[in-house]
Amino acid sequence: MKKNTRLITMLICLAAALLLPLGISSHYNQVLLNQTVVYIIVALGLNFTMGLSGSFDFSTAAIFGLGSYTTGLLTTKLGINPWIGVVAAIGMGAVVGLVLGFPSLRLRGIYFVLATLGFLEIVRQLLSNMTWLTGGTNGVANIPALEIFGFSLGESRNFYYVALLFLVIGIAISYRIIYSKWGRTLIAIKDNEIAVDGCGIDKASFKIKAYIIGSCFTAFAGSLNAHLFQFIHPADFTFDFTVRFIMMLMLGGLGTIPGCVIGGIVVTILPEMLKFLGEYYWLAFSALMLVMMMFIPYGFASIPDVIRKKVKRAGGKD
Amino acid sequence: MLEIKGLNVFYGEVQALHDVDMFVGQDEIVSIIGANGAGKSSLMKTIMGENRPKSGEILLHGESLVGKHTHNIVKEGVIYIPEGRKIFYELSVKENIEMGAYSRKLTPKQLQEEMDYVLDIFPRLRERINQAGGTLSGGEQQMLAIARGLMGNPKLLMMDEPSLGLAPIIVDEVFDVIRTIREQKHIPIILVEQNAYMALSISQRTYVLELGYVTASGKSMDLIESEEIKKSYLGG
Repeated sequence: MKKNTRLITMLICLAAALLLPLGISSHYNQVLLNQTVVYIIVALGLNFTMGLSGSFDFSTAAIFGLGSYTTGLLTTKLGINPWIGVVAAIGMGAVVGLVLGFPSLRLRGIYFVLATLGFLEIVRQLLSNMTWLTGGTNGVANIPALEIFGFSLGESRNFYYVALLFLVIGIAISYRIIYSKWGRTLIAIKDNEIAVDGCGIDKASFKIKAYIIGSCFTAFAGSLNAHLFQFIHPADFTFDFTVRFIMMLMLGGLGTIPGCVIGGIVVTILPEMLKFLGEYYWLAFSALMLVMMMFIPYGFASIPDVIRKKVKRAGGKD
Repeated sequence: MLEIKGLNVFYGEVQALHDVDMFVGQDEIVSIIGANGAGKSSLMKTIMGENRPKSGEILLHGESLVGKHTHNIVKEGVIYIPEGRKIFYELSVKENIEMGAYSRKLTPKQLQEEMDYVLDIFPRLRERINQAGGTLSGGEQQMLAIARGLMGNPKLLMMDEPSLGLAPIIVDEVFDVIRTIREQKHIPIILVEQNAYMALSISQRTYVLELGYVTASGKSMDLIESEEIKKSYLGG
């Protein structure tokens, strides 16, 4: 019964997502929608480290940026097919995840956080200063749009549908992992590391694998982003950008997939909706976030549970 | 079975254990008593490979455990049930118990048999099999932690303060279970306790730790009569 409700909810959401662009006429809103889908993929990636295994991770912007630059440079400098660039970006994510995660996730405590924070800054500096390769602060322009069977995806509705397909695949992969022995181990690591040790589990190897998968998601989304805007710039990939995704997870509900989706939508679209406030829009957005964190600390994904409990309590009184 | 020789452990500059010697034979319950900060948990953590000793040896069946990773020590059959229960709150009771068998390659049928065995010892857990671990009472959580430990097929079971924070009647139940486990499984058990009276009455032999030194050891029956122990640990 419960499984059916979940399936029906998912199908309704998918149908809504498919119909949504038909109601949008402005180019700006279409691009915003495309961006939202890309960002949700990043949130799914970050969810593996932060949401499941519970390691705080600041490297999102750097990995997203490296994904963008990998495909951006391959396609503009070497004229390689954009899809191959996307695949290369995923490879880049895996390599970075391994190289950064392998030493730092074996240590207990704050070292992984520090490593990701340092990495974020190193990547930003390198992208800005290795002018001969990255074009420095001029960014990389004229990145070709993705094409499928001769249709250019560009910034249009076509891009949205293809990205949505990738998102659905990403969600399916995430579900497979969360509800496997593997995912349960990650949740157990977040719950209690000492007890995980006691069960004879090599928790470092699990955390590293989770980080690698998350990095692949993030770098992949970064490459989609590069082909979406056809222009990338090092100043996009800062600490603020990382915080945006942490916010998505916190707000949506750490460790849950609906949380990633809802958080991704809210954090990307809500600030745009508040733009009528002029200069104060970011202030208003931050205040709203704060209020939401106070009233629903476990995120939007926990709302059904909260309601269920309230109903139960009310029922108990009768 | 387990032999510890001249163990010295430091946290930075501070020495937590001084020349600790200890022996645990096959099929006996050995208790370690001592006040807070005496080094009981440090000793457990060192055996489990979480602390590296500066010098000394830890031998399991004559083979050194020093320098091995925790997960490999668990594979050798040394199972540690940490203090304060440390169960997985977000996982169900069933999943919690299954986690204990993680390091073993079991077929689903074997897993079910092992689980049935464990649940026979803890019938209360069977009633709550699908509940989340975090919803159990303190006593039930302790039972769950022990059940999870048993799933690792222990050759040596180490329990850190199993009576901590439990009501007296539940403490009795936990100690009954410990006796049952020893009788059925014939494995040695190391029991770390602040509840000295309980520990002395259930164990064959006892080591007393004070500020990182073993200050007394011997048969629990004798120690329970010793004036020194009575004064320091038994409130008399």
